[in-house]
Amino acid sequence: MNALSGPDGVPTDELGGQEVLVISSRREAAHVVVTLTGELDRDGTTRLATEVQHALTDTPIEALAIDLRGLSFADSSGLQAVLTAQENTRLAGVTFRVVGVSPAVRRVIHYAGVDNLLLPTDDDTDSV
Amino acid sequence: MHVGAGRSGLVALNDGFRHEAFLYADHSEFLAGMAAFIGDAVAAGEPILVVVDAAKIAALRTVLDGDAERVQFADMATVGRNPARIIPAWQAFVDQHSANGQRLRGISEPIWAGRSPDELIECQHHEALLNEAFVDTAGFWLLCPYDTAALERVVIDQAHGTHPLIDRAGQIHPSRHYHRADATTLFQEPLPEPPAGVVVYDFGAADLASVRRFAAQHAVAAGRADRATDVALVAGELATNSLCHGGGGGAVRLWRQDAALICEVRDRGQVVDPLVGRRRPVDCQLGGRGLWVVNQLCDLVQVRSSPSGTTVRVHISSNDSSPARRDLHRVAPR
Repeated sequence: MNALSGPDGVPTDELGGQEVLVISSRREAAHVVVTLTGELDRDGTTRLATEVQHALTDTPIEALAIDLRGLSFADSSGLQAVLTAQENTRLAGVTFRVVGVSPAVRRVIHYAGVDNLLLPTDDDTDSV
Repeated sequence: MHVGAGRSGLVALNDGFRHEAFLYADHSEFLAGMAAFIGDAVAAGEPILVVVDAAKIAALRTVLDGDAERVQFADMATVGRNPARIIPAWQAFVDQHSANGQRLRGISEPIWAGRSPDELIECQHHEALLNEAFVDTAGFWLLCPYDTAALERVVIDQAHGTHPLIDRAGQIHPSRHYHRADATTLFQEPLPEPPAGVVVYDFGAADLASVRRFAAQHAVAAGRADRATDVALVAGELATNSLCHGGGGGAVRLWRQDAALICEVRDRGQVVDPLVGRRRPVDCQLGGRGLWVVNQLCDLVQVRSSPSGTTVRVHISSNDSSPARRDLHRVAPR
């Protein structure tokens, strides 16, 4: 929150061309960690779905985690995308978990009513 | 028979949702009426939730003595800070207890003398929407006390419009002024225009992050840096709704009104679901969480919509007072 808006009311801090969300994947043996950095909103949902789909189809894996440690912001659409990733991962027979939930993101998770994102992974045996 | 001796004189009622206004003139009338209603529920083994202010809860506990242990109480100042959060509280109570045809009772006093004119309108919408939210909930009897000495006459008149039954001095009669409300009517209630000179940001599909920056910066400029994060989240949720349902864009405005920060988003869409934002999202639900989140974070949410467009205006005034924030660590029912 450094600068106030300009005279036309449009925010003046530079967003032009800059990705507000960076998605990267790291693979170790049969485990994939998808790391999200920045801000997760509606704009990031398609890219997250694509990233998860690639992880699930490229090579067989046993577990997929989404690491939210680098998220400075998430809204209900963004969390919905994580929930969708959870469903698709479990439907593929792959263990899913979310790691690195900051207090700020945890708060939005609670407000959005998607608390089940925080359930431990060994609870997913009955979901497929 | 579930009607107690103190509430006789009632003719045949269907077994659906029973939404009744209880008009009382003073504290002793309130206490006597509520104690009788609660006593009947306890005697019949019916679960009962009482949502009134803290002082009334204390008074009722004293009057009820041992029976109070079989009554759930909640402070309306917390539950009903934003009136749009009251229906979810009743829904949770119904979901928890209504299995196997269990009859339920509730006492709900959302309107008190200190409510602002804006809050009163949303409270009346809440009362009207209760009839829609629980239309299929058989055996649920909700009694809504109205203080005729403290409240304006027009507020009592409006209670006649939103409650099918009126109880006054122990006499229960159908309201001649009751009418089922629909979204069209509720959502077309006029809102005052924003103050002159308020900065407008017209946003499009690529501007979500910018909407959040805009909202946070204006929250800081308005002296509400403490809520800048929440204001950004709320503005972003509303803008997302505009992108999904409102024609792909909209206009966001922020201004200060007394102690509250107001954020408003307008778009070209139309909201047709009268209970939008008042149903707890279920697992796996795609979308529809935006206004729910907004209702949890804000002190007042005004939804207005017509074929020519939608305005959602939210008030953020308190510091850290949202009940959702306080029960953050409570696990939501699955």
